[in-house]
Formats: sequence, C-alpha cells, structure tokens
Amino acid sequence: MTMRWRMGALAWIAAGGVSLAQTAPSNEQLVQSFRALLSSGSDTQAVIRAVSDAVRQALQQGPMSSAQAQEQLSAPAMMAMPAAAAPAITPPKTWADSIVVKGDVRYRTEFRQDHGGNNYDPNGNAEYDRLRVRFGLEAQLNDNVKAVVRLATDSIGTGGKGTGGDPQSGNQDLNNGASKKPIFLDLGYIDWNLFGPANSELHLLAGKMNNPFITLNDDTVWDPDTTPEGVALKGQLDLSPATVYGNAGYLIVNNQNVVQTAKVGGYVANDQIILYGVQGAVKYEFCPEVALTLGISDYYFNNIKGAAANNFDIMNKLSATGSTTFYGNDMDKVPAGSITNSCFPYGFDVIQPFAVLDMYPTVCGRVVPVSLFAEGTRNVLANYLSDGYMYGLTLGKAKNPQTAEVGASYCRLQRNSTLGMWTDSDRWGGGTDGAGWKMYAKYMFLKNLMGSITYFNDRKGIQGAGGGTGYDRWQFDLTASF
Amino acid sequence: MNRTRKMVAALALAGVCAGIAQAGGNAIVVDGSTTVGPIAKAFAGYYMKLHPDVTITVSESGSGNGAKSLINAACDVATMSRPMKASEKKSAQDAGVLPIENTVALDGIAMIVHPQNPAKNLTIEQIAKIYTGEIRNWKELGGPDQAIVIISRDTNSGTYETFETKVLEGKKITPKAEYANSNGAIRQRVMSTPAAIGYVGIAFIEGVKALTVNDVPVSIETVLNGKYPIARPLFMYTNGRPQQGTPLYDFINLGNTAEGKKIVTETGFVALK
Repeated sequence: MTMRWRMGALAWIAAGGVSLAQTAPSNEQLVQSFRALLSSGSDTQAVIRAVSDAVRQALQQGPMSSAQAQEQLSAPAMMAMPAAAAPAITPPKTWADSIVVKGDVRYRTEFRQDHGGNNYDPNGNAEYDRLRVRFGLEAQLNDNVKAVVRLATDSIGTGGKGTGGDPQSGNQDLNNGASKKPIFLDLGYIDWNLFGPANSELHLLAGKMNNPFITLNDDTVWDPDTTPEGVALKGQLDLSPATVYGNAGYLIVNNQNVVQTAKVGGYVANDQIILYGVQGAVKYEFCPEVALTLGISDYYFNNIKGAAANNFDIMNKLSATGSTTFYGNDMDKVPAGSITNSCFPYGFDVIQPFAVLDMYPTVCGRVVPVSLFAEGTRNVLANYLSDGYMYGLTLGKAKNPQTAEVGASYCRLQRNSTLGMWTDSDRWGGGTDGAGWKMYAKYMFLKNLMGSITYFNDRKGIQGAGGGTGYDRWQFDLTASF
Repeated sequence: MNRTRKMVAALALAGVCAGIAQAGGNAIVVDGSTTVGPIAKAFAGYYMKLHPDVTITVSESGSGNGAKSLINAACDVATMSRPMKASEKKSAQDAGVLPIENTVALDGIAMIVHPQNPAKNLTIEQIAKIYTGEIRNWKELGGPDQAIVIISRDTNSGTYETFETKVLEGKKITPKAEYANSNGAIRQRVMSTPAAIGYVGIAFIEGVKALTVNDVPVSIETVLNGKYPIARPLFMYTNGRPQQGTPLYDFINLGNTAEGKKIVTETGFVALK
C-alpha cells in the first residue's frame, strides 16, 4: 500500500510539472503513461526514473502551442526525441545465472540377513550405517547446450583393474574410526539439445551420464545409481495424444579386452567391450488421467563373450581367479598362461519389453497417482538360465511436502538374463540369480526432506540346491535434496 | 515374515492417508502469467465478494513460474498464456501432479509502437525480421531513419513463448533486444520510446499504437473469428479436476458463466463463446 501511495504521489507531482510546461495532448499522454506505469506493477525505482525523465524532457522543451505539439507528433520530431529510460527491463544475465547447484545427502541405516552368507548371524543382523552424498553443477552454456558435473561418495574398490568406485552405488559405509570418505566423479557430460527447447526434442549426450534409457520404477537391467559412459541420443516426438520415444547408446563397458579364449572363438586382445543399446517406446494418453506406455529395449554387449571378468572387477567380486560366478553371471574357468581367468561363456544381447499403466484417480479431492508396471528380460545369446521378469505397482508420489508414496515389486532374474554388474545392488545383494519382493514407503516431511523405509524379501542363488537361500534387507533412509 | 509385511503395508497405508488428508480448504492460491493475471484478479475480486469466507490470492510471476508453482504444490491454479510444455508435464508426472487444462479466455498478441510512429501494418515476416535483427531501422519499412528499439518479454513468459512459436518459428531473437518482465513494462517502454516496438496481450494496448498484422487489426472480432494471426487461448491449470461445488471448481469455471464472460471482456480480453 505504501509503495502504491508513493507511486501515486510521484505521478501526481510529475503530472503537475508537465502541465506547467506542455499543452493538453502531451500532458494527457504523459498522465496516461503514468497510469499505465502504475498498473504495470513496475518497481519504485523504475517509476522514479521514468517520471524524472519525463519531467526533465518537458521542462527542457518549455511551453508549446497546439501546432507545435502536433508538429512534435510527426515523424521527424519523433526522430529527434531521445529515448527515455527503460522501466522494469530485465537486467542481462550473468554467467552465474546459468549455473545450477544440485545435490543430496542420504543417511541410511540398514539391516541385512543373508541366510547363506558367511556373515550370517542367526541371532542377529548385519547392521550398517551408510552415507551417500552427491554434489553437482549444471551449467547452461547457451540455449541448447548444457554441461553437467557431479561428484559423489562411493566405496573404493581395488579389484583386478585397480582402484575405482562401485558402479552400482554411491554409498559409503560409516566405518574406520570416522575416517574421511572418498569422493568420485559420478557424472560429467555434455547435453546438446539438437532441436532446441520444444515438445519434440533430440538430445546428444556425451560423457559419464545419467542412464539415457527409460527405466521403470524398478528395473531388471539397471541399478538407478549406475551412470554409464559413452555417447547417447535421447529423442521424443510429440504426436499428441501420443508421444514417441527413441533412445540409443554407445556405452563403454571396458576399453580393453584382455582375454578371449580358444573355447569361445579365438584370442583377440584390445577390443573394447561396448554396449550398443536401442530403445523405442510409445506413450498414449487416453485422457489426462490414464496413459499407457509400451516399449522395448535391446542391449547388445559387443565383445563380452569370452572376456575375462577381472577386466572390470573393480569391487573385487571375483573372490579368486577361477570363480564360477560374477555378480550372479556364469563364468568359465579358463587357463591363460600361468593363471586361470573367469570368463563370460555367453554374450549378452538383452531384449527387454516393458509396459507402464499410469492412472491419476482423485481420492478425497486429491489426485493419487497409481502406476502399474511390468517388464521381461531375455538374453538371446545365452542358452542357459537366460530369462527374467519384474512387475509391480506404486501408489502416490512423495515429491512435495507432506506427500506419501508406497510401492511393491517382484523381480526374478536367472543367472545369465542380463549383465549382473549393473543390476539393482540392493535386491538379494545385487547381480542376477535371485528373486524376491521389494516394498517401500516414502514420506516427504518437509520441502526436500524425505524419509523412507524399504524392505527386501528375497532368495539368492535360486539356481542352487533348494532354490537358494533367504535374503532380507531393511533400509531406513533420511534424504535431503537441494 | 507375514508380520513384517503387514507392518510395511500398515505404514504405507498410513502414509497415503496422511497425504490424502491434506486436501480441501477455502483458500485458493493463483500464480503465473502476467497476461492472465488481470483476469484472475478480476475473477478473484468477484468471487470473494460473493463468498467472503473464501480467500483468493493472485501472483504474477510468469507462465513458466506458474507451472513450477503448480508442480511444487505452491499454488492451486497456474495461470498460463501458453499450453504446458511436454517437459513441464513430465516434471508434473514425476511430482505426482496431474495438470488439467482449463481455457478461460482468448487473447491476441498486439504489436505495439509509440503513438507517434507512422507505421501502420507489419507482416509476420517483417516482424520476424525485426526481432531477429535482419531489419534494424524503421526506414527499411518506409518509416523515419531511426534504429528500431526491440522490446521483448522475458523468456519465462508465456507471451514470449507464443510469440516465438507463432512469429519467430524457432528463430532466435537478436541479442540487441531488451527484455521486460511484464506486459505493462513493455507498454511503458514503448510509450516512452518513440522508436520502440513491442508485443503485449490485447488488454495492454491503451496509450500505445497497435499495428495491424498482415493487414488484420487486433480486436475481439478478429481473435474470435481466427483472422488475427497471433491469437492464443489463455489457461488456468489445476492439479486434477476440481470437485463440483468446491470454490476451486467455481473459480475455474467462471469463464464459462455469463458474469465471467463479462469480466473477461471488461478486462480487455476475448471471452469464450
């Protein structure tokens, strides 16, 4: 109210001043302009600037006749008039305006009961307190290009290929006398929007990126923390009420393939192991409240058949050379000189059809999102234990303050159904060769502060005697995002 | 194990119930477009007069920010002078928000110049050339030898997006353009700058000269009959469909009532048929 009053007073003073100097037409025009200024929601400073400029102009020109006023309204006079100061003009953006800081901190308390594991304690649980911290920057370089960098905590792996972070997780156990925790590069990529900002887009991504493929709430192939590396295309075409999605990736698994054996077709060194992934999906919106997405993915891992797993065993999952499994995948024990390597006996060409039914019923005046999803997984290059599937449902969405979400899903993955190294690391401890339920509840307490409980009730080593051993896991998370 | 499953289910149910229990209330928060703002304010004034127990607050932060507010549950109604983009719908979906589009009025984007400017008509092609920097001086259009001062809405504005789509067709505005954060600010800048050109909603042409575009004047008639080339619907988005009988339902549907249409017309926009 005070600001409004001040603006009104300024307009009145200015109008008075102008009336001394100018004839009726110009005066009225200026009063109109003041009125417009007042109704425009301009800030006080802008008003003062505009009014003072107008007064100065009028006083400089002095009194004029109607004829003079008419003359000034003509084009030549228009050319002679200086431009007034710009009110409420948005200041130019600085480099800092194009940078967004993002990150999150997650504290997790976890209880595991691995009934078949070495650390199984029938009288208690293995308990872990873990931290995941991620911190990143997104820089919008121009209208179409963005650069993203993110660092994250992670466990240090010291496997066959030296030191690195766990590809499936950013968790860091709280341990070792409050030691300082290591930070790794989690993301570092360029996002070039080739078609510019529109409903139909095509992005070129290059670097270490978020998963470029559509994944479901849970996924049989991908752990949500996996950040693949290479080049990808992400596209979508708006054909309302349908949207067509197309994604493709040239993603590096390993840049050197040390061993391929005579057993699987000869020795070839120094070939990259590449994931060539393509995915197509269509989302059809029957009405705003109901949408169905159908899609299919094909993930082909070139050169992986016969490759020694220790090429990328950063987390030392091969307990010894000659292990018979690696993240659940079958291994061949292949002598190579004085050592024995564990090699992939099969290639991986994983076909994954998927479907999602999204619904938004209104319950008690509030929209409650419901999502039903399912996907199948088959490795067509393995002739043994090559299938998997998953289905589930989510209810609600914990995103805004005081919103809740619950979900449940069942997953079953045979040993060679997909590359175990990148699957969900929480279900039955990660990898393939497991089956079981995941149930969770999330609640957003405050803006950007969420609590969640997740329970896994699984069996691991399902191809083993007796259908495997039990695996239970509870996770209690508190996550703050910014 | 059954016991733990039951426990999880109970927790989940409690969470959902807690979420659902937030619904309801007699306060309506409106945020978004500066173009639709005057309509929302007029609707709010009218509705609160009839229902003193209902409080409606209206903010004007731009269409893009209106969409963000709806997605972040910071408002009940997002006013927008353009349709919601696919990326915004995706963000809404991720947040569990279902944007429902309600058209409340129609608008024409007027090309405005200083009242002393002798120009009368511009074609869409000429306007595009001005804003991309190809045409820089009024003399290239038969006017005085004066550099054109280009005023645009800021990029968060729905008016900007409509202009970009319908006039520029994806081309980039010249870096020499000035950006203003409201229709009123553009009008003011044009009123005070003889060589300026700007674009505003039809309700903001008082005190400036609105040019004909492709020889069609901007008016209620030409917007309604579809002849004016830079016309658009104006929207109010809600999260889901408001329940009949609630203040939100009545407020959103005011544009379809006789009184609402009168308000829209009085505000300077084009009422729905």
